[in-house]
Amino acid sequence: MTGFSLGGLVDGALNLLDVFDPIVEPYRRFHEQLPPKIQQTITAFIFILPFGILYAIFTILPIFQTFYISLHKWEIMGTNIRFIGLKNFERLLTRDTQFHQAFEQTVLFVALTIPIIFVGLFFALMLNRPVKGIGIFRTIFYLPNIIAVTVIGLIWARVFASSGRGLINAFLEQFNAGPIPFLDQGDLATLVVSFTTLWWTVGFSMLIFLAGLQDISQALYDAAKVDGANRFEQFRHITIPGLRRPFAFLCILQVIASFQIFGQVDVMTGGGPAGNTRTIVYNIFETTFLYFQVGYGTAMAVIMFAVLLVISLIQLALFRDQGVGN
Amino acid sequence: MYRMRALLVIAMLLVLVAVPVAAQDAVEVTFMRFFGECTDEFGEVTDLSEAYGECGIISVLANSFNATQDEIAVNTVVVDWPGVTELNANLAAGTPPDIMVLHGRRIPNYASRGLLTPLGDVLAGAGIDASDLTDSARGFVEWNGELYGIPLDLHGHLWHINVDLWAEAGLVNDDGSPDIPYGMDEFMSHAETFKEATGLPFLGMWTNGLSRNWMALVYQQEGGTVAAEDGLPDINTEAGLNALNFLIMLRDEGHITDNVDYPAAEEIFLNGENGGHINGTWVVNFYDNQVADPEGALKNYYVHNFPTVYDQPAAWAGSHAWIIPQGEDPDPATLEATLTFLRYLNDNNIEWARTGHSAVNTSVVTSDVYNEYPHRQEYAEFVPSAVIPPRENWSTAFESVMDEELSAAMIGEKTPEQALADAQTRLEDFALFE
Repeated sequence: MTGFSLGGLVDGALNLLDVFDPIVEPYRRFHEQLPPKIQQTITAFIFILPFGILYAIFTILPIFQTFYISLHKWEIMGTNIRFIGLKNFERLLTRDTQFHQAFEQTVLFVALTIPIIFVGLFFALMLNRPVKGIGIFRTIFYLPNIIAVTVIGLIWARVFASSGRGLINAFLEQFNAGPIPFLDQGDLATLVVSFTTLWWTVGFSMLIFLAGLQDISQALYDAAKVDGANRFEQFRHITIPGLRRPFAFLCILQVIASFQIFGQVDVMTGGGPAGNTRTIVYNIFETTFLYFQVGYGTAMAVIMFAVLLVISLIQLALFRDQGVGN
Repeated sequence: MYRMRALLVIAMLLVLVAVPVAAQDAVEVTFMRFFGECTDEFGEVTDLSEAYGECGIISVLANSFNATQDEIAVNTVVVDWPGVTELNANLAAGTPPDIMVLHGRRIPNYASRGLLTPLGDVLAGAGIDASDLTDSARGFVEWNGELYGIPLDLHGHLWHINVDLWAEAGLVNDDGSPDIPYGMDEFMSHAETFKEATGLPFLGMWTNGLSRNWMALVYQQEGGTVAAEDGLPDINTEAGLNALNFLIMLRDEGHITDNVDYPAAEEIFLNGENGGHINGTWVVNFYDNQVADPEGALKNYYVHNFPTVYDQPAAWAGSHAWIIPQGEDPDPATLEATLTFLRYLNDNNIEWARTGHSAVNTSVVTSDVYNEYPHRQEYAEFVPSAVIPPRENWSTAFESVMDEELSAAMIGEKTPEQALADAQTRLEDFALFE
């Protein structure tokens, strides 16, 4: 009587691989004749091949497909497909005032949410102390970052609701003040969405800076103290230079993430009021999924890709000049 | 011993596999709809008399269908209003639902692309009498002379009134019913009287979505329209400007509550913080139920047709319709099951009409039961005054573009003239883009 065993199952599975022997064996003989450096290179390529194939199918191919679709009139359901050259781009750049407004709005969001990096740095400095229970505080500050954007949006939409239904306005009502139309006035709605983004994502910046801070050698601070440097001088001449890499990393990621802002807008304002919080990605969503025009929406995505590419290259060049790239 | 255990495990696995196989005897019909999620309250209810409100009635209709037979299993998939994102994504993936609710005005967009099943030839076989449909409802589901859906209702905007507050302002007749104004002068006189007497706004509406009310006000004017004869948008007109200026004037003079979205506007009305509220036929049953709530502020509810402030009555209207999306390889058994469910829904049109929507079958519309539904006679003129958005390609973007531009004018970001000019440009660009 034979019983079930995991080891037996694994052995069985490995035995199945024997079918590859006619291919593997000749290759092994050929491989062993190659110089060791080439052997290592080939082995490395073989190991990354599965990832490479999936990456090509699910990332590289869609990028090329995006460029292809952007040159077509192409509906979301795959109907009425027709090559129209650069007409989508012509309409986008010359006539589509909604896209222009969405672009300006997105740039504004990027500008308003960049301070997230500095708030994250502030939190990281506060939490980089050998205090008992500091881990709990680090977890609490990071916690919003793991909550789904839908939940974040609903929470803050409820807090900032324009009438007495909102938490803040309900509080103000007790003092016969308000209501403040947080989500029904353009500038206010923009600030509210930016604040929500800050609250949601600041934990990530904090975490990266915290890791950066812990990478800076304590010996540098000790030496500075011996040389008579005060805390501000230590911060300026040791901490800030030591955080260049995480700062560069966060700058690039933050700009890209802010350009792609969508969930908060979709849940909290739907692009309103009067289109004041419509961002590029929200505009792409509307055009593609609500108005069927996937070709046109894709052209918007291509423009955004080009803009982000240029900005990222400029950022990389700037940081390289400061020695980060080295 | 090991052999015995292995046999037991295999037997259990076989049972697990066999149970779903047995259940698969019933043909499954995927039923995609909006109208909200209310499983907690109505998930187990199969008695239609216990259902109320849109979500409740549609949920119980599906439940009761499943309970009354075992050949067809209807699986409900609830999607966000208006459901087009989900429908488009499913069509693109080649996995459309078997039956779905869609706004009637959207039907030409899908039918013209060959994405809907033409129903003209199959309805009779399924026992659905298409000749019983009212003309107005039928118009919503036809395209190029073919039926592409079965209408569920005719819906539109009404004037929901807090009669107690009107009485406080002396705006009621001898029988206690509200004294409904007709024309601009009477309307403004009522609004002033109401504000002086109660200190509250006369009217409420969600100010971030004014396109429907604006459109009704345009059509109330002689020759008013939003579409030119060639089918292109005609937004930037004198009638359009009059309608927008009227809305701004109401806001400036404190006759409508400003800066409110849909839920807030509804809450303000139900809390007794204004005299009336522009909202759809879909809330009549819900508001009527609120009156029964001893803790509610709304104690005396009346509903009337959309206010007439210009030359003739007109109210924005639309229709919900059942459609059968065209899959790549439709299964005849599933189509037959879907049509059986469709017939059940159509046969119970009178139940859906309890929401407050207008029914679509002549036999229902003329029935005593229907005409005796609460408040039904108070807005009997709704159907004759109903106007629908143009069935042009740009109507897809009409509401969102107009909501946005009208909102920009209301919050002072644009002049009324600029807002309408921008709306015209945007919709024209949409209409003409090839």
